[in-house]
Amino acid sequence: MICRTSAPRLATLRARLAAMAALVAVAYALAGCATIPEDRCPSVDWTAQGVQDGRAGHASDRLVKHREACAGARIAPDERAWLEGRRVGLAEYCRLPEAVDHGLAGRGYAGVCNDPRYGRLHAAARRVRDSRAKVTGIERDIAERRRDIADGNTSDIRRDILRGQVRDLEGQRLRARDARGDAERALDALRREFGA
Amino acid sequence: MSANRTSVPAGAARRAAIIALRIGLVAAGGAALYAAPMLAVAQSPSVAEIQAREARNADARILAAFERFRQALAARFGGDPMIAMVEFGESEAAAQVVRPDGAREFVIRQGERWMGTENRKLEPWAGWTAAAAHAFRLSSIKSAAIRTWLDGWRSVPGQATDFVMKIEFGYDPAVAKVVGKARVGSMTTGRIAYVAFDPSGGQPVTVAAAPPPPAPKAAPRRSDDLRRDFAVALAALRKVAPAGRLGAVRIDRREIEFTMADRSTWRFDATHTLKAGPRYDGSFLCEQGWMETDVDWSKLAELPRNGVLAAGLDDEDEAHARFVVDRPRDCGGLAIEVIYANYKTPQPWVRFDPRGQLLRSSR
Repeated sequence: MICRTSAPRLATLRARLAAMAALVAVAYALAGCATIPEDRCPSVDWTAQGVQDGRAGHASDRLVKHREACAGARIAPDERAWLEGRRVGLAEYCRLPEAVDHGLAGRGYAGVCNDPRYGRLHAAARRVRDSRAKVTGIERDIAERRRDIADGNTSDIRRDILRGQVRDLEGQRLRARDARGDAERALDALRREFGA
Repeated sequence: MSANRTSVPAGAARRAAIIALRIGLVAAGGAALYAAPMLAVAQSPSVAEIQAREARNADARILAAFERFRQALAARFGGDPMIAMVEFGESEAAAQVVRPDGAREFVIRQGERWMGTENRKLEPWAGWTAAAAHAFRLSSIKSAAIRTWLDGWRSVPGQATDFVMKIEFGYDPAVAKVVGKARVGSMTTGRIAYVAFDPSGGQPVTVAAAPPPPAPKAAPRRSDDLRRDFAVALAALRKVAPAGRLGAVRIDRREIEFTMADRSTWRFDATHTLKAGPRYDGSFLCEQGWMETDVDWSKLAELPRNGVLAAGLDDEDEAHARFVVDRPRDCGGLAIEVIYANYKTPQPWVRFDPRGQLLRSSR
């Protein structure tokens, strides 16, 4: 009798817990999406916020996200102040050496700089970064397989398969290293050309 | 034998008939081939014919729209309501209905929906007291009479391609009776005519003309930057089209162009003169339109600078900003687009909401 009544209660409790967990997750996700915490909106210095966003290379639609983030607090961004600030920040962000740094760090580029050389340098640096990551990934795969081959518990059949995979991966690494070399040379050539 | 005797002439006759048929077909085919280009030339419609056909189609749409409005009024007010003033076009119809208790009710209908009447007007020609005293039954407006008038109008050389922008019915004190009036644009002269006719029979009605305007002289230029004069332009528009919903407004330094939701267009130039333009026949128009109160026009002056900052343009680009205020053709949200006309296409643009808040930019 007790079991018969407690089972539905347990199910209800579980459902409630799941719903609460989902709510917490949604709230957490929403909080994560907001560009500015709602409680900070009344005290935001919109010029400083613009400078900060400009330095990060954000496109102008970032302002729309700020507006949405502060809508609950009934605070509308000072658009002119933010835009003026962003222009200052972008002047720093759009220096050519920054393009290489941002590209090599794997950061995206929102096309915010007027100088077309910035975009070319960023893309070249990003290619270097991606090609390096590819070589690193292949080397990690090779190392894993070599560890498995050296493991005494690995069967002979499995070891043969792994050796075949290592041979394939070594071929891929060769090509990836070539691509990395090409990308690095292309970036160097652009840096020389642009004096960056 | 008899079978032979009869079969020989019958076979010959059949062959002769077949040969004759073939000759006939070949001849007819040749004639058709020869005549085809001539027929094509004869049948290919000229631009004027196409325009005339389109004008007739537009007439039919206006009449159909009026019939739908008539049914909607009858359903809303019951039976055969009394009308002080009514106007209708292809996409919108409005009426001042006089209720049995004497109160008047202003209604506007677009498509299958009744619309709000805030900030809209439909003024009777005679003033309210006279209009109410001479209110007329909805049934007294006959589609057949409108059709008769249209037929008569279009039979005059040069008027077959005219487009009817709007038709109105009301009590006109100048002739002391209820008349219909059509606002008609000419495709040949570009002029707008305002023509009166009898609502029961469709015969033209002569309304005593106002004293002739003084001889036109070149109006002095009154502005070198119309972007600052939008309020003046809007006031001028509302004098000639007090109730029309806006479709698109294009503002640049030298001209402000209004495209109304009913596809009529108006141009306001540097002499502060408003002139009717050709009907807009393109597809980039939301026919539901919008009202000027939907836009915070006071923000307009700030937008070129904000746009320059948002799109990362040069400060001097600000002077080349032009504005387009419209809704997309699927009748989505109203937006103000600032376009920098000193660039080659694709020209940079920045989009703002009707309150002047930044939405996005092309770069």
